[in-house]
Amino acid sequence: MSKAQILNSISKNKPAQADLPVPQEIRKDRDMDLLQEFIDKAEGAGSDTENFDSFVKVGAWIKQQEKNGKSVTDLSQNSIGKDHPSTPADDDEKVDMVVIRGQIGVAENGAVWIDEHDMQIRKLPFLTSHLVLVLEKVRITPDMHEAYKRVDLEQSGFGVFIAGPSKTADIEQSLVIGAHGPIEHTILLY
Amino acid sequence: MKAGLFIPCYIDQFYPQVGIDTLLLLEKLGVEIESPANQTCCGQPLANSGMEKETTEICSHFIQLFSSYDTIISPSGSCVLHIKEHVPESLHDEAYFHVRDNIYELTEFLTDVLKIEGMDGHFPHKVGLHQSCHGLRGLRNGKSSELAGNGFSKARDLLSSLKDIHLVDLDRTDECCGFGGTFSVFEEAVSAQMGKDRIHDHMINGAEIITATDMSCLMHLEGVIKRNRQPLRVMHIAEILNTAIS
Amino acid sequence: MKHAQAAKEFLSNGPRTEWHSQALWYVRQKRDIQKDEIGDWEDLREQASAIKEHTLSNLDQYLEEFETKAVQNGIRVHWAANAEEHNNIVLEILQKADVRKLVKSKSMLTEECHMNPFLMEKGIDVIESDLGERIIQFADQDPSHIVLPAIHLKKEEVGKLFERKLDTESGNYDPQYLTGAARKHLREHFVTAEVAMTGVNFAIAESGGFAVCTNEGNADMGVHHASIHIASMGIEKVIPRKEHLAVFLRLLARSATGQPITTYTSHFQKPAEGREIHLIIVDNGRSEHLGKDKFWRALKCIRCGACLNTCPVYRLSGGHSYGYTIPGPIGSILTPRVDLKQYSDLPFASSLCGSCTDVCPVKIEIHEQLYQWRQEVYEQKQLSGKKKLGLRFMGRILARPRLYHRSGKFARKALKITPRFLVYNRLNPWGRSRDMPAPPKQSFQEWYRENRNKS
Repeated sequence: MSKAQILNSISKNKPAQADLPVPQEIRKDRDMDLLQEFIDKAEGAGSDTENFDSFVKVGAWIKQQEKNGKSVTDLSQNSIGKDHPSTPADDDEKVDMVVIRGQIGVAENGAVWIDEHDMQIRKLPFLTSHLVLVLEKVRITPDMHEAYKRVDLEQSGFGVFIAGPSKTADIEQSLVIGAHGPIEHTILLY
Repeated sequence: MKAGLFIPCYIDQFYPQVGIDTLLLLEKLGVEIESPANQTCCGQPLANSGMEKETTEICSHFIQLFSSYDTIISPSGSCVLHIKEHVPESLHDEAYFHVRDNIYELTEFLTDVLKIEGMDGHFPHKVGLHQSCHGLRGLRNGKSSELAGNGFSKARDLLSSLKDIHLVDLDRTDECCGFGGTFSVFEEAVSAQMGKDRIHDHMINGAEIITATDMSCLMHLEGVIKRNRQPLRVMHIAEILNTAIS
Repeated sequence: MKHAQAAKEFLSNGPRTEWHSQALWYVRQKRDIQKDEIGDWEDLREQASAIKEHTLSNLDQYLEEFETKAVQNGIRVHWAANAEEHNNIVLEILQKADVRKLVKSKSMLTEECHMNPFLMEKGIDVIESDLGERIIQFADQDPSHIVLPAIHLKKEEVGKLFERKLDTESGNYDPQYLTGAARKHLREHFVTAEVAMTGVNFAIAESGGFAVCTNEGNADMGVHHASIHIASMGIEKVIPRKEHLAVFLRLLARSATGQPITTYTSHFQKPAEGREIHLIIVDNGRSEHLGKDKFWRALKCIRCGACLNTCPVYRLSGGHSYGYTIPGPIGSILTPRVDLKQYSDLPFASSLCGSCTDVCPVKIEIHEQLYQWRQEVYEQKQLSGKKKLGLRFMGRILARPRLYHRSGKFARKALKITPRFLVYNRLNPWGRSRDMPAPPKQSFQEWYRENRNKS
């Protein structure tokens, strides 16, 4: 059996035991303005950000998108309600904008964590041409170490850190925003 | 402190002035130094070609010649590094460890042992400092650009202390010159291009003289410069320092 | 020497080589900006290195822990001792599902296993969905870089390729336009995918899940549409806990492309309702490599490609000149284990400058391993006869002071009087692009004897 063969080979060959390092307090300057850092990094990665002072304004922004003619799938209310399509179309044109509530933001790179509970259907955040993430400002952590303390990988079957619109530089290192995932990425902060 | 001067084989044969300048410089700085006769080589050309185990005779001879000195100094980062890291294990005895722990490249010796912070000299020229890889990433006589942290360079500090010297800023501060020992022969095309790239960097940034702590790099760069008749010359750092304080 | 010859050919196109070298240097510069920004870069590298060394020294336990948890999560785990087994497992999954098309995202492991030609021979249509990989697939070439597979191609070449394969506008070489065309073309494959495949960047032992990092979103577009997700991983990809993910993720994209993080870091824990995830754990020589005292640390590699970007030899010779799946510095220390005879020249395709070692996020001592592989090559009698003879001869001279003096004196005199055309010819590779040093009258030792008169 290959498993036994492989594990035996490893057991026979592995180098002398090396200890796990003591986790260090790896931290940047604690005084940094988390919100501004997050916004700078998110925008550096091609995201648009909106800084609101209330959740009501978030709702108003979303309504405005619908008024502008976009077909919006709003999951930010976090319930399987009438805004949630049970079988979203696979056709790009019918999924203009998807709105999802984020659990955690990471200041050092502008990423937001969402999991299956938030997105409900795994392909939604990737299929849409415009992904909108709604994030409470207090949920912004300084870095990935802090983020993973808060992320529960086992509470759902799938989760993802998303740091901006999809992109590629595979053709002569020219950055192109919008590869196979969303072409636009907006973070609504409140 | 009695110091022994190790002059690498190619400096002995092709660039004796570098050896002479190193000796004169150290004598002027009050170091009791002599260069034992019958030196040959540290063994690097063979070891870098995979034949480290064939260098026992060469290295044994080296250890024999130098183990009686308190300190060993050499105007070559790569040879010093080689003695510290790649002498065959069969020779690892007390005599070897003494040599290994007391051998210094020139700028290392000036900075760490003599604790020189500045040289009282004058060198009114535009100089490009080539950071030889072995001295930089091997002996850590400077911070390589790949690493985070505060920059430092023993060679640069010594040079910049000279009056009227203008140290040019390069586009790529520590890219390899492409010598690499036998690499220069067996991967000739890449080696030559790497040399040309370095020279181009120095030229467009206004250097008249290229200097380094390793003559091997300079021998390679000089070869390219001469072939292409470029308006630059090379000088080992020992030559610059000794000339400057004379 | 194979690399040397291929490098020479690559270099014969001067402007193109310069463009290639500069493009990669630019990525190195972006990486440099990041490492200075975060303030704890060297600590992170040290942590990452130590975590990997700990994990590798307990690899069997961590793999077993990982498998147990993964299976509990509903992930089906397969073990493949070698490339052949891996490929057969993939084929079986496809055949069982009665599917003849595989949409895949980037995986160097599948390249190593030569999976694509194997599957295609069995009638499976393999669609590479990473843009760079798709370009290479269209061009019928191997990737030349582990992160930027098409870095060696100019946009005009991509444009002409797309004209043929995707019917794009003739003469339109705008990367934005071409990417848009690829988006449209691949979208059809994504939404109809039944089986999709990814690699694995990190597998987490404590939770039995794994992470996949991409910028394009192609991995997710494939697997979330497909009913079966196949993920292949080398045994060395496992890490103990999710807190360790933070260390590696902070280093990976910064080292690879100069981004703080990739656009998507997808964590797969359980298959979606009614779907399957198959994880294939692959050995293919890695467990044996673990036992090599001087070389096992190469298994710490997280496939960032930073060593390729910084290496002047790689930048000036191109990935294809190495003749193997993974080129550049890391390739040159992994490949000789596969076939020492065939790849005996790769450890010599380097000036041992050490830049690779200093950029490596997990502190693999790459240039030292290159040196050690050279000793292996000599030990296993794979050094070329010509090289060996010349060096042995040199060795004898250098061990004997009298002989050394006489030879040196002779060489200097000879160089002085020999006519130029005899010095610079085919037998003198040094002389192709460089002048020989001017021979001085006296050696240093001769001068010393005269002027210092000691012993």
